[in-house]
Amino acid sequence: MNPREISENDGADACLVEAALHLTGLCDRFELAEMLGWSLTRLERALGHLGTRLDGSAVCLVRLGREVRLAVREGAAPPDTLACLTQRGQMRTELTAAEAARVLDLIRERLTDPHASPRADTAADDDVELLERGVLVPDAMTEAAGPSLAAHPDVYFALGLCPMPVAAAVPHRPDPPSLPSAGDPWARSADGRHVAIPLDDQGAG
Amino acid sequence: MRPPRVIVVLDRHDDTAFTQCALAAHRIGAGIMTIHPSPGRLGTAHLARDLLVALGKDAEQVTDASGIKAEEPAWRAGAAWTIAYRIRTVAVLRAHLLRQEHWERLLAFQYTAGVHLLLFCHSQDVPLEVNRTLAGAPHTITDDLAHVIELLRPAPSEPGPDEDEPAPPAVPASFPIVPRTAVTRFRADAWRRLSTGEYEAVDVQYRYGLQAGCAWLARHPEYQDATPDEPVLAPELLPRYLSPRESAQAHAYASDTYGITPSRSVITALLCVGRERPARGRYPRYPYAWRDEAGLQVFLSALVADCPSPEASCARVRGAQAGLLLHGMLLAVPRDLRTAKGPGLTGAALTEPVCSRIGEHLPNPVTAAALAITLAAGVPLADLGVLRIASVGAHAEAVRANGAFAIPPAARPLLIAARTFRRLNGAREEGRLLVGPRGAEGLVPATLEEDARACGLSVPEQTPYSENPFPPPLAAWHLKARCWFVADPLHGPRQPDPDLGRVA
Repeated sequence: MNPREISENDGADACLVEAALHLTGLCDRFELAEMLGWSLTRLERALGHLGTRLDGSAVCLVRLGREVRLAVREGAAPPDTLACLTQRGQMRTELTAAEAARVLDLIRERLTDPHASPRADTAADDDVELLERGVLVPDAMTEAAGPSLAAHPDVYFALGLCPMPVAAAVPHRPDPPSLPSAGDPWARSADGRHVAIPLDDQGAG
Repeated sequence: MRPPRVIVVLDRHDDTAFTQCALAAHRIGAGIMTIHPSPGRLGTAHLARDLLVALGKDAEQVTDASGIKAEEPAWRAGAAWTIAYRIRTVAVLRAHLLRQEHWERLLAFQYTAGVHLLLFCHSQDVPLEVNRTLAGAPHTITDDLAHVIELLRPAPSEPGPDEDEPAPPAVPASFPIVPRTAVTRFRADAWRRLSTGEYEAVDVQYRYGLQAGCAWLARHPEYQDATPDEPVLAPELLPRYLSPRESAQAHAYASDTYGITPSRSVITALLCVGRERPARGRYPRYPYAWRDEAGLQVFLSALVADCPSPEASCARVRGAQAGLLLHGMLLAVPRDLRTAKGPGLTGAALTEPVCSRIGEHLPNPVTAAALAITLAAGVPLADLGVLRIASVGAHAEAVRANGAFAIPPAARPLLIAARTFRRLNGAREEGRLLVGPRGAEGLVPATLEEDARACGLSVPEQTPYSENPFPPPLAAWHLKARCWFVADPLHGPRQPDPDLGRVA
């Protein structure tokens, strides 16, 4: 096999492994090699080729022990923008079974015993991520008794358990273009209900 | 119901009232059909074509390529459509001009289709030629116009399997683009981002999905088995010494008194919280998987089957997710639902006009069913694997093959006709449902796309038909949906208030 053929094969392999990482997210390298039907050597060569090809792009290859994934390169966008985009992406994330259980338990607790003191033993591992995704919020009702969490009002609205959502649940938005109110882009519109924001995350996809 | 009968109607004086009576009675939807035999003493294949025309088929489409131009398949197709359209009475005009072989065919058709057959003879007596044929078949003769009018009166229609369910709300032609966020904030995002009118349009579909989800669970045996009937009423609202009946009365009072306040929906929920599912042996109570995956698939595909807009489909699915969450159930669907393939997204809404068009342009029941199934599933026909006659549900309400999907009511006659046609052709239950004039290959992909164009429709891009015994990966979104019991229900077993959580 001449060097040119090797290079072309590596290019094809790199494309394939890039597609695989897009589809699988974080992936164990042994598992990835098995999925692709490759030897580990071939996978490492393809990953090396992919890493080189991604130099200078906004995406990079991240290796965490045996695992590998694609990630947005540090500095690819201003931190605020990155945080906002990350949060937007997270809003699309569906609940897992454990997360749904946690959210429903909190709703049930609130409905059955709204003024109960927070129970330290009920905190769940997923709480941090649910907070980041805006599914849970710090509970204002039990603030005096200690820190605790509640389902976001949007969740209550989604379930028909409250008649109105909060007006502004998207706190970060770095560049709100052409909104009706320059001072407060998330203020209610003239009809007293809500503002129409460009559906930048609602295109095809 | 009366047993099917053969009635010879003698119009001795060629009274136009008899003909007018038969013509006026013709209404496929009411189960009555009137056939006009072509003039001239033609073969029985022509009479079969007249039957197909009376059934609303385009005569121009009854070609060699359709596979039902020949005599036998044409009569079978006629019988299959007659059964599928639930036609009870068939009137044949100018029967006195037909030959013996026509009468024999008609009697065989009457037996196969199980219809009342009224043979109009505009003559003094039954033609001598057919006396011998009639002698072998139980029949009656009448010349009483009033009796004929009575015979041609539509019978009360029988309700279909799901006709008691609320009709889905209409979807406006210009349906807004809905948020792409998950169920937890979909509705709130729609409220924040859309205009009042747009939000209302989305929320109508969302609330329909929510109620449909609640209703589906409430009558599902798996859910009923897992969930106690009696809710434990919210204890903190009322003194604990009250009996359950007194508590219920107090809650009803609170609900009636404060029904129009914002607390109404919370009160509605409070009436139901506290119902706890029993532990399941040595396993932790939650989460555990929903077992009836096929039922879930049918429910989800039925939910969006009539949606002409994928955006409206997304709104209904989000609503259904919310409805199931109220019952402590997590319904997980593909994250990028809008770009997924499958029912309500990449197929077509099989409405009454669309199905009528398919039935009119595609007189071969199998061809019509192939197109309807492809549109209902929203994925290439080949992806569904081998569809067998037994794959079609009893009332054609669903097809279960490589995954299950619902068939909208308007399209069900197309599948029933195909199933009947194949049975009349001698196929067994495990036989293929979709066999074209040139075998299975005759249906996809080229002819299916052509057939769709003939009906003014388009189908998802087709892939070559494969004899691979291993079914292809599941492509449709609803086949990837999964459901888990994750918590005790927040909601009771009864139907939710239609205005639950509606923004005033």
